[in-house]
Amino acid sequence: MKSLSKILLLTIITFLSFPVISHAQNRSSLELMSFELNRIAGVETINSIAALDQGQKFLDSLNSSETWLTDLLDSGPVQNPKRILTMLHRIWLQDNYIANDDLKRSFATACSLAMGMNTRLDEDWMFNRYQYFLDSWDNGRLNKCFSDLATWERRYIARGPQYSSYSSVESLKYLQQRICLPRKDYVGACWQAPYRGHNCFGDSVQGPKYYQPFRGSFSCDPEMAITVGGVCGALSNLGTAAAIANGIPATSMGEPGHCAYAVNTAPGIWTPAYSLSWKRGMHTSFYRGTWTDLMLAQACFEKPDLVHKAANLQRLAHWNESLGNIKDADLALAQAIKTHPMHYAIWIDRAEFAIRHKFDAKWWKAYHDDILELLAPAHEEPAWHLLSKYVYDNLTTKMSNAARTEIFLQYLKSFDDFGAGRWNIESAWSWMTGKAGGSSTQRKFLRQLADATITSPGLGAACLAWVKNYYEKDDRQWLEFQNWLVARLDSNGDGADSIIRQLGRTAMPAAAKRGDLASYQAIGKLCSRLYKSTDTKGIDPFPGELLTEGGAMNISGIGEHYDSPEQHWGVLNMHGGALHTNTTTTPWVEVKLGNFGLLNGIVIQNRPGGFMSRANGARVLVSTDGQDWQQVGKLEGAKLFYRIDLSQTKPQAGYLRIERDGQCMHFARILAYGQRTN
Amino acid sequence: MNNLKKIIILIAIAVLASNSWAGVYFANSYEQAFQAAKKHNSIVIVLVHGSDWNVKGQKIYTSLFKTKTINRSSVKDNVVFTDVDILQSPSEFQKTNNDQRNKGFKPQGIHSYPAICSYLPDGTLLAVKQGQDVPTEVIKVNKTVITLIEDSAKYQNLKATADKANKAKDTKAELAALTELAQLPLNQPKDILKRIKELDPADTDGLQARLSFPHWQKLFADTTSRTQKGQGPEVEKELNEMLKNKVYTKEQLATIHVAIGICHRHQAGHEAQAAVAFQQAAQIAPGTFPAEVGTRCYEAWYKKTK
Repeated sequence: MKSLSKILLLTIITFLSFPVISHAQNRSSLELMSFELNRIAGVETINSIAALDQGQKFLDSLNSSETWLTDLLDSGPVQNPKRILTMLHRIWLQDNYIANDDLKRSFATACSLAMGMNTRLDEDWMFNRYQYFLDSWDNGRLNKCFSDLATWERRYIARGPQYSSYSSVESLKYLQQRICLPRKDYVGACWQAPYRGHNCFGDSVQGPKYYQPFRGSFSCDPEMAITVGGVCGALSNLGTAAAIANGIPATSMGEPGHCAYAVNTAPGIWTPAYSLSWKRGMHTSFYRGTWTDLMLAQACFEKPDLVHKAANLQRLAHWNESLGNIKDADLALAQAIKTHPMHYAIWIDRAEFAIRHKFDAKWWKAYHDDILELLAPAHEEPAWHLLSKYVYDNLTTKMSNAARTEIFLQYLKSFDDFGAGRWNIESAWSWMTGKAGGSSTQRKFLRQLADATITSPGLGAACLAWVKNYYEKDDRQWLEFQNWLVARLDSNGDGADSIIRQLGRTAMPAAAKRGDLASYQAIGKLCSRLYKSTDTKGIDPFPGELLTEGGAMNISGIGEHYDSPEQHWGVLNMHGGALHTNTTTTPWVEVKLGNFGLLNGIVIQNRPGGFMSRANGARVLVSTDGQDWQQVGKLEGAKLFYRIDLSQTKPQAGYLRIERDGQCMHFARILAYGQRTN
Repeated sequence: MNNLKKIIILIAIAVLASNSWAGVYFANSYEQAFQAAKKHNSIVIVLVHGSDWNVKGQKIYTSLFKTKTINRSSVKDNVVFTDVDILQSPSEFQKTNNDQRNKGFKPQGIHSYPAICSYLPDGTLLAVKQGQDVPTEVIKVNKTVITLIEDSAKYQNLKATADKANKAKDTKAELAALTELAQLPLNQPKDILKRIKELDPADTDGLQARLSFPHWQKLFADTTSRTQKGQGPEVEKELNEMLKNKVYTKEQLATIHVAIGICHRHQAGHEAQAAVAFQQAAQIAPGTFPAEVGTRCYEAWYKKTK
């Protein structure tokens, strides 16, 4: 009897503790997924698919396979289900056994999901593409890593680059032969096409005549770009298409006035290529076309078991909602988020669920707190998107200014640096400041905002530059802010310069490391008032643009001993500055150029005075990706100026490196000249 | 004692075997390949492949290089074979070992793997076969390698003949050797055309003209650039002079006509001349690239020109 009581008690405790799990146990995973497929597609679509040749048999096959449904439902958003299912049915019709073949099933599903991502994609184009990739795999033409990819990664391959002609079957066939490289090397594949703003006829790439004399003489557009040339759009699509043709996930992406791309260079690693800015709009994306969205997708889908577990809870919520069990549905969604907080779709789903059922501010506060605790610390940009799109309107509208700004500050304090990459945090700051209240409240909030972020090496530079810009037309406010900042940060009583110097020392290296040229430049310029401009006498420039201008620099032993990072900015331009590496096995200086270019030459100005011989023997290298370096020169002797003439070879470069063995180096200027190629 | 003798004999056999030279040698590393090549004045053939990512390269490596089964019966010249493995995701241990094997190798001129490179013993790169020039079928790859060896050996011999003739001041023999060398499908020695010009200023059979004919991209770009700078009449004159040279192929003549068309296109009031030039390009060598370009330019821009 005692035992029975115990069992009963335990059952009650279990039921009370895990009400959602108990529901989940009542529904099998297959049931939940089958329900979800019908829910997403809708009766009309399901009926239309069933009416196709062997349509019902196809749906039965799909609904009876847990692995296939997992591929379909747990590999990112399912958009335009009719297009997806139509494509999948067409592939299945050709091969009824795809459900039993992991690679075929996964790639067929990826191609079908990609059809839903872009309604302009042609069904025949995708079908041929599916067949060509499978044939390529069977014949050993794809990189071996293709077999290890997950369905969500294969969606990038299925989708192709922005220019669909760069990924036609003819193009794939050509590129598999023409550019076949180890996975990481596709970040340099774009340079196989020469950068030419005007073709050899003198016609601009911006007009229709650029390719007109040549169209038809080549097997495909990538071959034409490699032979005739192109600018950033053609080059980036070429790099993307080359990776994709060989079975490597990649996507082209837009940047302000530029086009770049990203390659999945190793499992879990996405590397930007030919990129000039963090302001990226991804041409293939799951939820939003941002870089941080891609980083979050990676963090989410690299854990497929958690994705499946969380998604089953989400599906259970949908089931409960369909039955009118709103409380159970909410509990299931809450549990889904806690199971896998990186699953962005569930966050959105939960917010929209709350809007549908008109949940109160108390509910939104709990959701808000979950975001700050579970998502914002590592992925603050997607967190911001959820907060600004869903939460603040439902939570802060009726609040006092003080309470509202307190809510904003809670978000700002939930992370201490850029988590998954630089993003437009300035727009978030501006938005919050605008919503803070009247001008005096705004001023107060702005200081609270700065107080929360200014000491962060990553955020500090961006924040200071943003505040300066915010007060662009109000010198008095800017001065007042600086005074406040000095009082806030200056424990030594050295004044504003001391603060700016301190920011230069912490924020500039962080910005350089992240490749955040805008922040580096903003703080660099601000710091330049702290040191005098160096005499330009003796500089004999090479033809072309000064490509180092607008760039960023990092050195070995940054900020140690004799180095003052706040003086680095001037090294890359005519202002002049100073750098001093440490002494280690191979001290180095690395510069990310302000623009990619074909180099005509490099001028390096030594630190005048004693020890100029320390530069003797230093190697000068260039790179297009900051990874693979090619030596282009050597510094010889103890000179004030070194000139490396590259006019004969004109190496393509986006990065420059100076290194030597066993001796520190110190320079006043590093100036690279050439023809811009972006 | 008997055992010691056996060991000594075995060591001696091993040493002798390693030093033996039968014209063909498979080296275990890039550096070792060049050491052997320098010793025996051999061509070096390097297969550059990726064993952990590239199936095609691995197939060639396994079928021909690893098993040393390149059909050697047709190889009459001294040749050293080796391979360079470009790994995609090696462990630290694999990387260290592989870097050691690949030491000295630079992927000069390689844009696609697998690649088969041919070198002189001093490291001069003669040719890179890659992309569609490396067939998929092993038997055809074998043939490609043999052709590469033959061409490279020919290069080596012709260069030696030319150098010898140069020392002996036998200009006729030097010119003959250089003329033949210049037509091999390999990277050419620096300044070879300059030397041929010195030996045969009159360009007796037009070889220099044909070999020094600029790439269409350069000819068109130079024509555009100079005409836009106001040198149109001068450029036109030079191009017409080129047309008078009877040694050019029909394709080269068509290329010149396109250049003339470009020259006129950038001069105001020359539309009719441009139309004629592009049409002539199309007619002189139908089916060739410059003819196609000429046709398109005419059709798109000048068809309605009177």
